[in-house]
Amino acid sequence: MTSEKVLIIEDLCVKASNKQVLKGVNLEIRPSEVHAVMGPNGSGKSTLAHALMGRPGYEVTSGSITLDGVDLLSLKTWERSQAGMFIAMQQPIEVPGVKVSDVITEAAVISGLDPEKSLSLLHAEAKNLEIEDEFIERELNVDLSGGEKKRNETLQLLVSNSSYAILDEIDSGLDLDSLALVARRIQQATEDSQLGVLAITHFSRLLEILEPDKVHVLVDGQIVETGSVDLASQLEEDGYQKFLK
Amino acid sequence: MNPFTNQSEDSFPDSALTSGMRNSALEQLEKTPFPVPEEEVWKYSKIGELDLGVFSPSLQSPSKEADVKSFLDSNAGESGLISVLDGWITASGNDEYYKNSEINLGPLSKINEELINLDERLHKPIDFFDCLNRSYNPETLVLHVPDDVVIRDPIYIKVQAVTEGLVSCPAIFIDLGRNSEVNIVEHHLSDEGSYLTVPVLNARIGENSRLKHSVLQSLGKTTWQVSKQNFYLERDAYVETFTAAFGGNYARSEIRCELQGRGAEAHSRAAYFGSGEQTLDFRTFQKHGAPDTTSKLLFKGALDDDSRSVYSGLIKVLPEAIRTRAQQTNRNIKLSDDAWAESVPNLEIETNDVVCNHASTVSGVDTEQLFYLESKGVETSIAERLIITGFFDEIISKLDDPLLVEEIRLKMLDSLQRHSRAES
Repeated sequence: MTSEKVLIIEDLCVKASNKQVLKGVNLEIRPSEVHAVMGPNGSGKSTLAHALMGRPGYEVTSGSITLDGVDLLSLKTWERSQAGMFIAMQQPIEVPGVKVSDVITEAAVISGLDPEKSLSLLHAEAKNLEIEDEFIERELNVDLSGGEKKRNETLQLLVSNSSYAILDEIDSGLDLDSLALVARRIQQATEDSQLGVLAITHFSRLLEILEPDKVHVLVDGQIVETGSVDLASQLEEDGYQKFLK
Repeated sequence: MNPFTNQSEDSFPDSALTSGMRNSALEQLEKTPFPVPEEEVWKYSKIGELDLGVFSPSLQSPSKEADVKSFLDSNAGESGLISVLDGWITASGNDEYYKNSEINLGPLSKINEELINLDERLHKPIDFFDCLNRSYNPETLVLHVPDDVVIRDPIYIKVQAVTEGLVSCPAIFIDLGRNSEVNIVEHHLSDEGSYLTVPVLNARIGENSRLKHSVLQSLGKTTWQVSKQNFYLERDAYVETFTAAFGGNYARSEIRCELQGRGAEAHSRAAYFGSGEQTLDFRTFQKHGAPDTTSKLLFKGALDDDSRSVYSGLIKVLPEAIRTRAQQTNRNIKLSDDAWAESVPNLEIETNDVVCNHASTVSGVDTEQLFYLESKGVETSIAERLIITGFFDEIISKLDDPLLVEEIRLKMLDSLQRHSRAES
């Protein structure tokens, strides 16, 4: 039996630094769908992103995450990635001495893909994102500007062949032109390769291009409202005051 | 009975000069007590476990090589391979090459002693192992580079311990004139078995000269080594020293850079990978004795299994060494809970107007880096391998000899693969 293609987050509760941050989050994302998650600082947006990838320090206390029928919580981080999950991190980690091309090569080998093909795709996508070729041979996130780091995350996403992408504030650090470029390429991936997207953001500018199917408001570890893209612009004008107790 | 007495002096090809030097070293050796771990400079070492009584001096040149391969065997280039077995010089490279070149290389007996003024330029032995080396080194390998001679091709030296139960005492003396340049690569190796090696290198780097010196130490896992490298830099001289250490039961490297002339500059780097029950022990001394001198030191290690490492370094700035710049950094990654790394950086500054800093760390593999790579689809053990090789890249990428780089990368990979296999 083949399972329906969908990422289901059910009643997810997560503890971080000994504090209950997520208190029952429910979300369903299908291929090609774009879901935006907005919310005030400290509401649990990044915790949601980290828990989805199994980052150390984030303990799932109850609930489930299922990717196309597979229990994601039973998988290690790299297995989640291989299963189709991708995270573009808000603050990508510096890994001295390791290059983007090393990561792409090793990940391709594990997936049973031809690393040469993945590397040529890497160069092609770099061109699309207006990233210089020499960048690919630089150390991961070392001495990169905020914007360069985000373009680097996007580059890896587009080469990764993932089914679902978590974009944790991909728009922070990018100038307007770069933001438009990055957002357009991701939007295109939702059409070309049915990429499902969970975009965490504070700004509607990213969403103008990504055109989310749904916008969720996360407050104090729970989704308190779900609406259309208009909700995002309304939040940008009015803030989260009306959702705060 | 102590086999290290002066009965053996006839065994060596001495001149009047070297015989005199040997005799005074032997006298000093008899008066010098064997070190104990209570001494500050031997703290954390395994010296208490070394039984010198089970070793004898090497009194004749061995007839065959060790049964271990060196990356230099088929790759020594035009200058040919220089081979030192149990301290004896058995090959001095390609004769034709050296005949046509302006440098003088070979055993001391074949070099004009006056040319290098060894007596004055070799510093007095300062401890037991200095004395041991000078007493039982069969013959010093001399490399003399006259003024204004630049040799770009590396000179390769293979240093082996081949006869079980012997102490080998190789000695190398490098003498660079003014405005000269040379690049030396040593490979130290031994088979599995009971060996003690006590190599001593002394180098004088003349005014405005450059020396690059690299050692790959891949001794057998039961060999003991106490090695010394002393670099003396004159005005505007420049040295790059590098050590890659993988082998030995207890392998100690003492590296001393004395910046004696204004504007001299020394860079010391090391990469080490401990496994099993090894102890890799590094003692460094950056001595600034003149104004406007610079020294930068970066030692990085990974420790697996029950292995141990010691890094202890001193930056000393004398009163006259104004505008000194000195750095000392030691970083260690523990790959196992039972591995152990001791890191002791020290500064002793006797003047103002200097920029000196030191730093040391001992930690496990960075979990954030691991998460980042895993989140991009890289399996845990491979992510760990990438992080460790990346950690060493800062040092390895500075080497310009592709043969050496390739060999070190292979050795790293081998150690990391053994680590992953043990983990899984």
